[in-house]
Amino acid sequence: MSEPDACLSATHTLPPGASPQEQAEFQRGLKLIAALLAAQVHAVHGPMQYGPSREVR
Amino acid sequence: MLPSITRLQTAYRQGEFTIEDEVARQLARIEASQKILSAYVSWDTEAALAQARRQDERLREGTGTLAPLHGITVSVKDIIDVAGMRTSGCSHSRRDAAPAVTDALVVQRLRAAGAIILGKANCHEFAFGGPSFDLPVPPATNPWKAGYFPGGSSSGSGTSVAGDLCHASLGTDTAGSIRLPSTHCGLTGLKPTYGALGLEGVCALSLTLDHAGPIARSVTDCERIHQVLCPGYRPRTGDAAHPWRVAVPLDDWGLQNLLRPEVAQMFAGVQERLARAGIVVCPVSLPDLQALHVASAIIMMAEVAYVFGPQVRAHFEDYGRIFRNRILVGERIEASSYLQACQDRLHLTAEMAAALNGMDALLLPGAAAVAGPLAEVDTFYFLQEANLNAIANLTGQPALALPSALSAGDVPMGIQLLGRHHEEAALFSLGRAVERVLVFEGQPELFSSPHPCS
Repeated sequence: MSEPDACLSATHTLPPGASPQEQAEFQRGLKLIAALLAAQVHAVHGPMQYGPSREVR
Repeated sequence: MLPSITRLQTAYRQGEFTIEDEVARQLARIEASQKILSAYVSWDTEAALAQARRQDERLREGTGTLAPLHGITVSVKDIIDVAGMRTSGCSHSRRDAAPAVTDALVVQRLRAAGAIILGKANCHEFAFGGPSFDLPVPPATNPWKAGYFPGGSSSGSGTSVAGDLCHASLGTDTAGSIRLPSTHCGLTGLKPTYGALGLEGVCALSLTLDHAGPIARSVTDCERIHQVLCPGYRPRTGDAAHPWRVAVPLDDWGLQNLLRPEVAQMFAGVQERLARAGIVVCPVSLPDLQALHVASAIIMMAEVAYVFGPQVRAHFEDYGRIFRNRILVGERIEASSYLQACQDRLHLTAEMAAALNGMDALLLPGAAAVAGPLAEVDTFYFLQEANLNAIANLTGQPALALPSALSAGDVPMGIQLLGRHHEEAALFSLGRAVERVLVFEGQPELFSSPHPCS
């Protein structure tokens, strides 16, 4: 396995020490994040703009 | 009903009891309740009593006016530095950390105004991982009902104020962590405008969404503390020039599926009562709720994972199960998704400002559900459905939470008002008007005893 592949797979699982229950919880979290990412609306907003002023008054 | 800051200071001046009496009374309550309520991570009895004695002496000398928080006790969330005390973040990973050398900026301002820092309030691990039972201190419990969630992540802040274990607390709020404990514990809490308060000396979680602010017993107490924390702040004097105008979501906005029936009923009832009291309640079309939820959750998860991910991977066993799980899930968000969410935030903020044009505030429930048992809080509850509290973190608007009613199960429910950027003074003024209409005067039963003021 190349180094980048190793890094990627490492971040798909929890390090040693995590119980099977915790691994299952992690996988559930990944699915929830995936659902959020899928819900992102990639609308065409045009050029990125700054929002309301954040100056401290 | 527990006394206000003004009432306490009147009692000190008139010799009803001394500041030392009051501090000793609360310290005794902390000792007696800690095994059940777990409100604090640590406290400093000697330092608090010594400061109380000095403040009593100053009162006896009768020199000048009292500082705004003279004799007022404050708990400080344990991700905020207090000189001489360890900032544990309620994490095993900080077990060998040295005590903080200096106070965080917000703590410096509290002390300069006469506040007595009693100790470090319990919280979720680094304000992100909890409620969790594998941390150095068990999770704080709700003084209204043993074993129930007091809200988080400033959980000990809510518990300590509601439990009469201090007069007010300093919390932080990245996705509602000041307002949720306020809602579940029957208190008032402010998340100020983004950037209004400096965060030097506060553990960073999410640079885009982090805020610090007070939790207190009333709108007026909350404003008093905000005025101390935010030196440029000027309270509003006199009544509003026009009837208050409060926006509520037009049509359903997704609330029908989101709000539990008891909360939906409370929210409808609040709107009716405000309208009867002459506050104009206007349904308005708001930015898409799901878009607000997605953008705020992605930004928070990505930024928190950026801050803590390497440490968690290197020292996995030093972190609680909930915290490390959430952190490593957040690592899966790619830069393109994060940047998309950041851009969405700007557009949604502008859309929200346009939607609220001509309004004094947006009225929303303080939480979608009534507080339940601690053991039933889901690890990923904030990802599963829209978090109404996270909206103001995303847009940066100030937001004030205040209690509205008790549930059938005898735990508080509440509402929040989202104001205009940098217009906390108007928000507090409106909050007082709403507080007068809703009249929430309950007190938790756990460890209840009459206050010397009553």
